[in-house]
Amino acid sequence: MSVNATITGVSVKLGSVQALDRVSLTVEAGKFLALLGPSGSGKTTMLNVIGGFVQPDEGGVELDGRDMTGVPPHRRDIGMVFQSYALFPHMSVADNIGFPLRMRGVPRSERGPKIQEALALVGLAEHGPRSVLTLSGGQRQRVALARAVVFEPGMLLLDEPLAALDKQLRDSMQFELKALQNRVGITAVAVTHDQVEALTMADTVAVMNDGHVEQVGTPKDLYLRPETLFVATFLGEANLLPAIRGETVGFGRLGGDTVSGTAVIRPERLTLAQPPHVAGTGLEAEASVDEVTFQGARVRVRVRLKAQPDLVLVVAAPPLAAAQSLKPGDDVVIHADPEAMHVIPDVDAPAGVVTQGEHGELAPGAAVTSGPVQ
Amino acid sequence: MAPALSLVSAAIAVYLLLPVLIIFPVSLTSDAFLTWPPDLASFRWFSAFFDNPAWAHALEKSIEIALPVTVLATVLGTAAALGHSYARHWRRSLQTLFVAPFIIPVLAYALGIYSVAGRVGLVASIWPIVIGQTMVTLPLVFLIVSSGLAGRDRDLPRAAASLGAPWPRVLWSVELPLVRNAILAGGLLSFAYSFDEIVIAYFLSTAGGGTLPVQMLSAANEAADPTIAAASIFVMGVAMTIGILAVAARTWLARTPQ
Repeated sequence: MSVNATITGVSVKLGSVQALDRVSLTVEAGKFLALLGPSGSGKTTMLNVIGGFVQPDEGGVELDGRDMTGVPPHRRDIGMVFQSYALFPHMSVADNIGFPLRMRGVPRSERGPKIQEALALVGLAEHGPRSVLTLSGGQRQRVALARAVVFEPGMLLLDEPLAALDKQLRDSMQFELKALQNRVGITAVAVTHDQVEALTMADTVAVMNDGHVEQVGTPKDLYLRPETLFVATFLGEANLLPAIRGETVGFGRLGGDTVSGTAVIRPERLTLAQPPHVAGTGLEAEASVDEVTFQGARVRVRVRLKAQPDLVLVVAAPPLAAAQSLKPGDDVVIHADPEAMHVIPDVDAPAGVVTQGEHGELAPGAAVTSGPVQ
Repeated sequence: MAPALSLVSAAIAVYLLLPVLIIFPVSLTSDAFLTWPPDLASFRWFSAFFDNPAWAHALEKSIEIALPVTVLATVLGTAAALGHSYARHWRRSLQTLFVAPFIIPVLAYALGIYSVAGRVGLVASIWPIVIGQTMVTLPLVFLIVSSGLAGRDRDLPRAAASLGAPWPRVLWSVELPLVRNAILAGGLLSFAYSFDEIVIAYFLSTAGGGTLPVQMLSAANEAADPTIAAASIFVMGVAMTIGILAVAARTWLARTPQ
């Protein structure tokens, strides 16, 4: 029985730090929500509030409409996978998985089959009698997962579940975890700082920053239509262009759009051409190549706009010969699909004035990279 | 550098073991008095030790006191260490408080308990000694269990709680098993300490009802016969056995990854 969760106006102060500031979120039953943000953004605190390990100063959590205020962790019926896995070192794999059943008074005869079933679910059917100390990182992760779902809780919390694994294993575990969550049909909330992980696993992603939620949406929404500069730059690489009443530097007028703010375009939505060029239907700007980096699946080309040489853009070109043969100093024309140009309106600024908004550290017009980029 | 260091270490070890090196041959003497060098090759004084009812009674008394001291100090010291590990405020002050009996002169405890025991009419029993020695050995258990707790994964009790364990179960099924070896080591050392303790035992024992160390002291005042040497070898043997067991328990603990 998976539950839905409603988080309403939760504030938490840890010491002198406002870890969470009136955060509201909902998770539908059976769905996967990822809390994505840099360290210190409050995402782990949010998870601890749901799990019952941290009491909110304000607001509360409801599971299936039941107020959880004052309900201790052991009575919340929530399975949790810790970043360190937190397997009990003095117990075997089977005893670890049997622990929640034992706590619920499940008789020994019924525990065995359930443990075996959970072990099979994570592909460790033969490992029951082993000591957890002999397991590899990936196996420990699976045992932790099996232990967190064996008692069929209403909800699964995952605290940086894959952070301790090496990259290759992490990539395959993302899909495995998602598949398992789907199969069990359990509501899941995962904390991660890895945007690829969040986009891969979650139905809904909540981007957190500095104790509040920046934006909640599907992975596609967040990536293609970020509402804040923080979201735009935290999820992958973003080119930011100042736009004044629909007019951008170099590319000229954006179709129909007359707002002022920052236009966001992803490096893979820009294309390069050699001048002279045939005027296309899209937006285009002249630029010169600054740096070319071969990255396997793509060639990352850094360019400076002719119209404003201090404006640096990044283009992710397919790894074809044309892109590979580019050299610093070459003149190029950059095409941008107007559809892919997303403008984030300035919140505080009156129309027509480009400011740095509330994100003082992000100068519009800089190509910003944040987090691991694929 | 290294040979010099070994030499110094060896010298210190010999210095520390010197009492044993002298007292052991003395205990094997066939002479009627404590002499040096002893006339060796006799277990006469060991049999004197075990045959004399005064010594046997003292040994009995020592064990009778050391056992409750061990239980009390282990339980209270472990509880103190657990409580301290969860304390959010006053951590330093609490730690100082629990370790204080190590720093405050034992004499102060002995005199304090002596005056209180007189008033509440407990003078004739072993309990004033048990209480006093428990106070003094508690820091030992506290420090050893605290160091065991410091190395544990903080998520383990939280994981247990999330899996449905109310706090008594968290304590019993997860926390205590994790520091089992530290508790064992703490218990063994508090037994050894109590067995060897003299200041509190001397102040609070009734006439003729002293523990082994007290009996040794009075025997030494009366007649310096080598039974004392045999007794001290016995006490030392007990202490060393326990010490070795405690070290073994702690080594085992260190090998168990947390």
